Amino acid sequence: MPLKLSDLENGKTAILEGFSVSLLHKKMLSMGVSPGQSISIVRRLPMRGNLYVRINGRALAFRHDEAMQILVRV
Amino acid sequence: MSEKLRVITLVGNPNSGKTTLFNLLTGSNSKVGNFPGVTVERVSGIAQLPDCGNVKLIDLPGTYSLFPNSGDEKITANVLVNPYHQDHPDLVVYVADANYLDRQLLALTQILDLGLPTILVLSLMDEFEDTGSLLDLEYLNKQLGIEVVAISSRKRRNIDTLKSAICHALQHPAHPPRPIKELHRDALRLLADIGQVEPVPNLYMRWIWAHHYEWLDFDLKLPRSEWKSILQKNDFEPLKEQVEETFSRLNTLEDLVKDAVKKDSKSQTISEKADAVLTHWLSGPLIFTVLMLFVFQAIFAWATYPMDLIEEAFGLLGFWLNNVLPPSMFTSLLTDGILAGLSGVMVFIPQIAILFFLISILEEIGYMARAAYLFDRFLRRFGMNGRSVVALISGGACAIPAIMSTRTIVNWKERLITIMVTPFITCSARIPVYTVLIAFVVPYKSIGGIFNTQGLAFAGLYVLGIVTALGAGWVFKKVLRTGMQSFFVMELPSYRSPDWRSVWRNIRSKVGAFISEAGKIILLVSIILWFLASYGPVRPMQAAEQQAERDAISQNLNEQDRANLIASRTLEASYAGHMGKFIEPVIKPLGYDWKIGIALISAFAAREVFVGAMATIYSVGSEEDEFRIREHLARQVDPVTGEPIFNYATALSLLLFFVFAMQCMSTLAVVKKETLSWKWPIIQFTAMTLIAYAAAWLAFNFA
Repeated sequence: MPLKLSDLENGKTAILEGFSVSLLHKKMLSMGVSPGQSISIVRRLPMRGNLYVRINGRALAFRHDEAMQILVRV
Repeated sequence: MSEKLRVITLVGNPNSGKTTLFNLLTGSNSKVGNFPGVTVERVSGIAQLPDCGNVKLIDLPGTYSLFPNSGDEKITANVLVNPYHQDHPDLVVYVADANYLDRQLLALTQILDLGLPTILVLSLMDEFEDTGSLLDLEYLNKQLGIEVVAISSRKRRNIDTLKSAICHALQHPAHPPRPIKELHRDALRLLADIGQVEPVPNLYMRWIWAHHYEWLDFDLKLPRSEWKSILQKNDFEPLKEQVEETFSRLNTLEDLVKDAVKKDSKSQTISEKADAVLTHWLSGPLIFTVLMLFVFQAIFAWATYPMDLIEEAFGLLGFWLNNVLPPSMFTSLLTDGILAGLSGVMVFIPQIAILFFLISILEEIGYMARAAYLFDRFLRRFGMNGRSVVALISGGACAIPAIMSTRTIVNWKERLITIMVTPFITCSARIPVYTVLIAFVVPYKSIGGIFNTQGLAFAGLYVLGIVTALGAGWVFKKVLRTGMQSFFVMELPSYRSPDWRSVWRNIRSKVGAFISEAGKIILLVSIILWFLASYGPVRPMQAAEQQAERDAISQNLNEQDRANLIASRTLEASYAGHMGKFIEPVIKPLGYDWKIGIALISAFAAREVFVGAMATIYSVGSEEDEFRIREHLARQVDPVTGEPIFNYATALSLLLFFVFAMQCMSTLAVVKKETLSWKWPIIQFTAMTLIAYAAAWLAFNFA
């Protein structure tokens, strides 16, 4: 069952499955982020704040809304 | 020099070490301008290469791929896929951070498929080797079919090798034997259709045109509408194609890098350890606050000396000119108009330079991206974006470079709101005004030996500015409608030591912007004000002067006081005096008389001119001495009621007026430039003036 990235536990590694919004998909692809890469949440800010995410070893910051549009598989 | 220099463009991801290399190759021979029609910086320079002479180097905006997300990235795509662009390269130097090779090469594979002569530069090799990793350059060279050079800009390693490689590649342009990503059958059919009208030989270039025909900045032979119908006829689905293509390219790269790089993965890098503290939800914002207190403390502590020096130098120069030149209109224009204006421009430079020195360092080491991450959630409530942090801090020196720094905010609404509210942040021009006025509002008292009441009031005004900026942002957010979804996603680059050339270049460009944007206007307004204050209807002016002479004699005034009295009386009779009286009915409810009116009009050049204008109007003579100005103001009484004009209520009213009002012509001009319309500066001016008026009225009537 794919999971929203925002629901992934901190520190757990998952596999990036896809995106539920095509605009975000486009943006991520052009940054070199694509399904199949490993993804984990390093830490997050309180109250649905921004997330510090590691994808294939690189550090990226996401908003909570954006993380809800990213699908992952544990 | 009739021969055109050959053009080399530097391309690479953001934070790939591209700009550091650019600075190293061009030395001081670089120039910052704008790409035509857009506010994206175009950095170009001349590099001297021992083997083939001078070449022109262009530092293109960092990009991840040729499928751009932002205006900056579109520039890069436009330059690369437009064979007629003035910056279209004879050679692409593609820069990739050796430490993150697997994700830095996406755009490279596209550029190779465009058939552009290219060499690959692997940067930051010193860092890479420090981690104990190994790299097979020959393998990369063989697989990609292009020259690969590994360098370290910091250690100046292999720079000469790179220079020779550039020359060699210019003389023997090598084209990769085969595309990295083969196009599929349907694509080839579509491109054959397009090729009948757009005969550009490279298939992949046609393919990128098909993706981007809507916004490419050059004229395609095929009208936009026909592109649309051809693409529709061939069932072209851009997103699906982009997904498939990127996926395939990333796969190819993964295999390539896996075979070329032997990584020694250590448990935790320095960046990860630092981020555990710096991006922590509690310690992160705390450290940021301390850092900012330090930054502003540094500005105040360091900038005082050069500022005093500048003011003193201009004072002496004016004094000297007044002595050597015969008293005339020209001398007066030179000393009171032009020199005063120049001094008013120059005096801000130290603070602006120091602030951008510190901000550039924080940006260079990668900290500002963390600050954006920390404050994005908070600032979004007020219609802004994490990246607005830079503008809001810079506003503490001067709104002009601050507003220009909002260009990194991709979302238009968030950028616009940042531009609209930044002028509420207390800029350096407000400080002298606060210093004079605050004493009327808060009597000096020491608190616990460290703080004092006036210092705290000062801090309170800063806080008021910040709170108002946020509140205004909140209102704009509610009022402005937009369907555009805003994305934040950004890379948090590894921390690294700053490149001092970039820091220096940034300071130069910010100070330059201030001088060219604000300097001209401040100077011009100073000259106009000089004229308005020195001239008036001829007969009343003369009458006022004679009356002042007589009064001086009857009051037995000394030479200095006599001169001050005449200056004050002629000012009253001048055009400026008439303007002050003209607006008096409007400002009367705020507790201001026509004299303050003149000073308010003068402050429109730059806020701090207010202090000097008050000094002249109240015939203090010297504006050097805040204490004397204050004494004088305190002694002013209303000719009718006999009450002191400068009391608690008036001073508080004025203070609040200065906190809120948009009294800076230069800022309005820059807002117009950045928003490309008069609409926003007009709204900004009107709204800020109304708020200022309301606050001042409340203060005067209820204080």
